[in-house]
Amino acid sequence: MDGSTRGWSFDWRRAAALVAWTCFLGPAGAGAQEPDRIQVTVDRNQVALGDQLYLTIRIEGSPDEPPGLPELPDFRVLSRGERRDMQITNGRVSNSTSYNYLLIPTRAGSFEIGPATALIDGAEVRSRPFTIQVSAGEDQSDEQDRDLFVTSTVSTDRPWQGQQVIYTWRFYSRVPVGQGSIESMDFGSDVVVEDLGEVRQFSTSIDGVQYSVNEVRKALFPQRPGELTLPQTQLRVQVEVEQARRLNPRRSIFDEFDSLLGTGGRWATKYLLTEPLTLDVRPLPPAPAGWNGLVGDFDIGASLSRSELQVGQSATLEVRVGGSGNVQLLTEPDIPELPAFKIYPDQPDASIDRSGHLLTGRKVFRRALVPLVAGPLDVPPIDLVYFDPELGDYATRSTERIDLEVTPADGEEELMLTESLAPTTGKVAVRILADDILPIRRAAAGIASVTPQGWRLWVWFACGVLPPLIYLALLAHHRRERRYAADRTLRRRQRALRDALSVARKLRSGAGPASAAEASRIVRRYVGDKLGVEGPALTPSEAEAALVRAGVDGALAGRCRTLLERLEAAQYGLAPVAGGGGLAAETSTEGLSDLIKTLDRQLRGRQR
Amino acid sequence: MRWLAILVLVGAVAGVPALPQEEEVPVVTAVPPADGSPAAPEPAELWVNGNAAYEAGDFGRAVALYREMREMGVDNGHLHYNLGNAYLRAGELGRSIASYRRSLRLLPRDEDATANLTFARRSARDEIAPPEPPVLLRTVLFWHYSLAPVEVLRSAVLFGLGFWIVLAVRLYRPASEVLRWSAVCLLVVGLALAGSLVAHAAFSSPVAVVLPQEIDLHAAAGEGSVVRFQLHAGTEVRVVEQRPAWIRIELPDGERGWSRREYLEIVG
Repeated sequence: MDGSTRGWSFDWRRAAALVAWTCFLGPAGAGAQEPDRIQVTVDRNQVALGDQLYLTIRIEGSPDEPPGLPELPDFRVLSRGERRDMQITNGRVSNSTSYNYLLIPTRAGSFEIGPATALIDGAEVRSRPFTIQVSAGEDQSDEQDRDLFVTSTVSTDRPWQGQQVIYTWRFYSRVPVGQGSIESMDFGSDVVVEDLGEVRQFSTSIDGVQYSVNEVRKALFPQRPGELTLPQTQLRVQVEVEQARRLNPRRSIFDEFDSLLGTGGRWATKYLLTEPLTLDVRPLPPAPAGWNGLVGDFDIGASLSRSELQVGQSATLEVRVGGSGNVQLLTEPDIPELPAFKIYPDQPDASIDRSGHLLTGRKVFRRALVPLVAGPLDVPPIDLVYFDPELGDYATRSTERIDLEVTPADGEEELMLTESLAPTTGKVAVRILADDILPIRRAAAGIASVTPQGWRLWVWFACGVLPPLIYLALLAHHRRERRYAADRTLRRRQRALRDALSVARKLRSGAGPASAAEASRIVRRYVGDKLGVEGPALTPSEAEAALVRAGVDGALAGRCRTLLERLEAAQYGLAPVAGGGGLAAETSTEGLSDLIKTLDRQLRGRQR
Repeated sequence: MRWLAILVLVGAVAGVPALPQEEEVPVVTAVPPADGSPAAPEPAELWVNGNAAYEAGDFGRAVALYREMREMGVDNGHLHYNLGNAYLRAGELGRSIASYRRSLRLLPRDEDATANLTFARRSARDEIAPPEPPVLLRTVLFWHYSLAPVEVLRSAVLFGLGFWIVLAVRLYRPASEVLRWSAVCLLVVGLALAGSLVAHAAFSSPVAVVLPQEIDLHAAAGEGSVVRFQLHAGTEVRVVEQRPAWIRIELPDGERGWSRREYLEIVG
């Protein structure tokens, strides 16, 4: 009774679901007969500044090329890859391609997302436009009320070309943050950038609110005059969004483990953008002689290691150039002619300091001076020309003149700077008076090309390609020989059909005992080779039994036995071949070939 | 199967080009074609005439004739050597050094080319050491730096051929330890030879030689950019980046700068 009741009970939930499917999904399904071939969707259409949203362009089928994004001037757009889906519904295969993008709003407002376009099978399709609301955020109005924000500033917005501009980027936070990374801080090829130290971390108070600050400083050197825009810098940072749970005084021991392992709480990704900055780069005035590109504040100094020395002795002239600015361009200043000295240059020392608030550097150039004449000599002042941004003009700094007193060498020894004396023998070492290049070549090798050409190229190509192919052929041959050696009947089995057909083709036409004996031998030998027994010794009955054991059906085996019996009879004159119930036809080349092929097909089928 | 292997071996030996011979090339006189049109010069004719022009002191003509040979597809270390000499005599230091470098790449054990390159380098004004691979690399891959690329390639092919032959013989003598270790050694050497070629092609940076007497190296790729430093003819530098019209080079001390492409000649 219960079972009967259950069997006829009305399941109202199923019925409601069926009605709902019919009413709602039915029409939807009808409408889906002509779906939009391109759809643009977002995960939400209301966001605040600093948040991001995901935009997906879904295209039915395979587009000819990636879709064209709608104009999005108020968003930063980052591609997040594409995905291809394949669906099989009622045996019908359909595929679609989804292109994913991350949008980061750069200002508040209501923005219409225009149609995306795609080319499918040569036809252009467009999506439907929709609107996204970007709110300024609850704390947007006042900077110090925000939990997180970034700023960027420059030391001057009207620099001279080549002048050092300090770019300072700061990230202020007063909530716990996780990992963060600056995703774009690219100033382009018109600006040479030098890092100024590591990221600085400190705390600061803005109107009584304590912030943790991360600061990045860079020295920028604009390379061309005119307006230069420093693009927005984007920071991606993980922000903890479930602080309440973590601040709960009744947190359990598992929360402690979560904290230890970093698995507790929920984190959200925030993107923070700075405002773009514009530099109005002023061109430099026409350069005076001796200027080598230095812009900044530089100084020069020089000293000589000794002020009194003899002819032939050496003193070190040290020229020190340094300052702040584009110190990468520090080069040795032009040293005036010093005809009274022989000069030996030395390797300069250079150091660039990036740890301070400015990029500073210093280079020390050294030269060994060897006076050639006696008397009062001097090193004239050395000039350094640079452009001073404070003055707005070129400036020159000079070293003091260096005086020195040179006395004659002891013993009036002749100065021979280019000769060396062997210390033990006193003989003069060989002097190279002049040098020249070695003569040209005349050999025929100068006509030939290094790379092989013609038939030699083919020989080398064959040497590279043929050996592995030959080896593989040898390997196959070797393995087959080994199989034959391991199974002595294998070769007979494999060759049985070929041999039998070959002999059958040569079968003499006509009737008579000789042809009957030959046909009998062909069949017996085939059966013997195929079954691995001595074929000529088989009687018709033994051949039939062996064939049946090997899997040949009884009718065919019986046909074979009958043929062999009749051939035996004909061979010994007990029955005529011609007109003997079609024996002549069966012992013809075609008849025997047909029988052997039929036997071979069945035997091969059984062996498989 | 055996006759085919023997045929390949004979062909390989026959394919090895003869060593450079020092015999003189006979003077070639071009025979004009019957229709009266000027005959296209043969490489041998250009070679002889280029050498004659060099001996006569007409270095510009010698350069032109040697270059014509190159345009005809002739490429060997001797031609680059002569071209380097002709350039040097003609006063083109940068191109001369580039030619000597090419000559040494094709004839790495050629003492004359080494001597002439050293001589030419002495004429370069900048005190900048030419870029060379690290000593460790030169020691580990000694064969790569003492053999020409085509020699390395041929050696790799011959070692590969030997490997397959030994492997084939081993089919019939599987117990032979000598054959086993011979195959391993041939394979290792062949792979090392071929691998060094591939690694060189994939990872080595090209070298450029300064051609004009003096060039400006800019901070950025553009004429308006600040001139960071200057280089002079014959200086060899490492190329770190190439654009259609500009090349970025690096000095041994790490300083980098951009130059117009036509001011530099890149040597592989």
